[in-house]
Amino acid sequence: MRRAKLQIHLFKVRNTAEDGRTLEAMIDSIASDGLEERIRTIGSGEVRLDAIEKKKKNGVRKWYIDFTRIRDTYGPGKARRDTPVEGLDIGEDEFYGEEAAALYLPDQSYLLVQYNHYGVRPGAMQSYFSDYVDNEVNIYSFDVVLDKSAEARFKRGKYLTRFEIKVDVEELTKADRDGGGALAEAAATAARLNARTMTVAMSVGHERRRNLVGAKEVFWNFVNGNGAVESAIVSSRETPEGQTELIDLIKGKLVHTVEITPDAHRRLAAKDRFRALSQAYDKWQSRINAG
Amino acid sequence: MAVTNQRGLTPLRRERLAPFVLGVLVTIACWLLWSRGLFRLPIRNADSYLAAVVTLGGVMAGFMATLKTLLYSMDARTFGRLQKSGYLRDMLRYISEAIWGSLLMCVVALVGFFAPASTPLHLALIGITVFALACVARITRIAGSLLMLRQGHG
Repeated sequence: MRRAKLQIHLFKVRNTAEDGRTLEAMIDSIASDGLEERIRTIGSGEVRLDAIEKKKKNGVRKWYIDFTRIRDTYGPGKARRDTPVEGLDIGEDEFYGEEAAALYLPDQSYLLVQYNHYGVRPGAMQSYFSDYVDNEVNIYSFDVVLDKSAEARFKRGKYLTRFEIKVDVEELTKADRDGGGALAEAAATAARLNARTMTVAMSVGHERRRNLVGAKEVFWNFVNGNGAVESAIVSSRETPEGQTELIDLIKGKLVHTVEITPDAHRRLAAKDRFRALSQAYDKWQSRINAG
Repeated sequence: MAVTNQRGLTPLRRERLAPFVLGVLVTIACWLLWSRGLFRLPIRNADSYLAAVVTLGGVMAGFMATLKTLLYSMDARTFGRLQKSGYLRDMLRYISEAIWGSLLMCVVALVGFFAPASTPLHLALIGITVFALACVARITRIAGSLLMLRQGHG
């Protein structure tokens, strides 16, 4: 059977609400709920934290968790190379479920997340944990742990040809307030810009000689530590004739790729995915313990 | 008091000061008009006017207190954003200024029933009424936008 590629990303977990509880306490409280009670609607789909396995190895607490997104609209069918696609046997009250595992380290407050594009992605996990309890304010934020080399590559690139920044414009930010923006205006802007994100792109086209290096500093200052920036992609070359490389400063995050053999149901077994997370942890251990 | 990094009259400071400034300006304007004989003060037969002000103040205070429940029913994300950005403190201040302004309006109007009709008292009442109305207008505008936010991703 062909092996499937699995990507794992690393995040630092914070709760930015002043009186919120830790993610550790939150997971514990979710664990005490029944499966059906754990369902929350995030975006347009139903999300549930399915499995919680608490382990301890070499004095490090490791909590393996598994999320499911319930696909309540439609799903894939069964295909064979020599026959058309046909439906899978699926009952009235059954759905397709997309899984995404994560490894939470309660002592270090890090979360390693399996990336499943169709499953529960980190952003949805963030909302799931934040919205889980109705009557208290928790705002978990998963901060991307940047690959140091992405930053270094950006600084090295002398021929910048394209920037693309995606900004979350809906946010009423501290920056608005510190900048002296009136609440009425900030709220009105947020309400008017109903779209959640805004994309700004700057490019010099295909001409080799032109570049945007003058804007590099401005760009970096804007992106660095700006919580509203959701993605920032730069194309740059080290020499005019060199190869263009894409650097995603936000998603230029630490990625660990593993190959997993699907099981007999052509699914990725939870234990294999947990093992992959554990491998990624071993790889990033020193980085994680450094804080 | 102001926790901004900016100097000068930022929109946020303007927003905070607007009701006070408006109240004082209207009072001064009325006083000027009165001193030139264009405005009759104290108001003659002020009883029904004072009663109306008391009622208006009561209604506004009640309405503002109800608005506080908006904070409870606000979805976690918007609330979180207000809290995280620090705007929550401003919002609570705007609400309480509106409530206290409205109550003060009632109190001064009630005093007007007992005290002999005097120009300063009626001028003060005009100023406070303007202040309270401005506070209510300010918070209503904000509440409307916040409500829109909720609909936006409901």
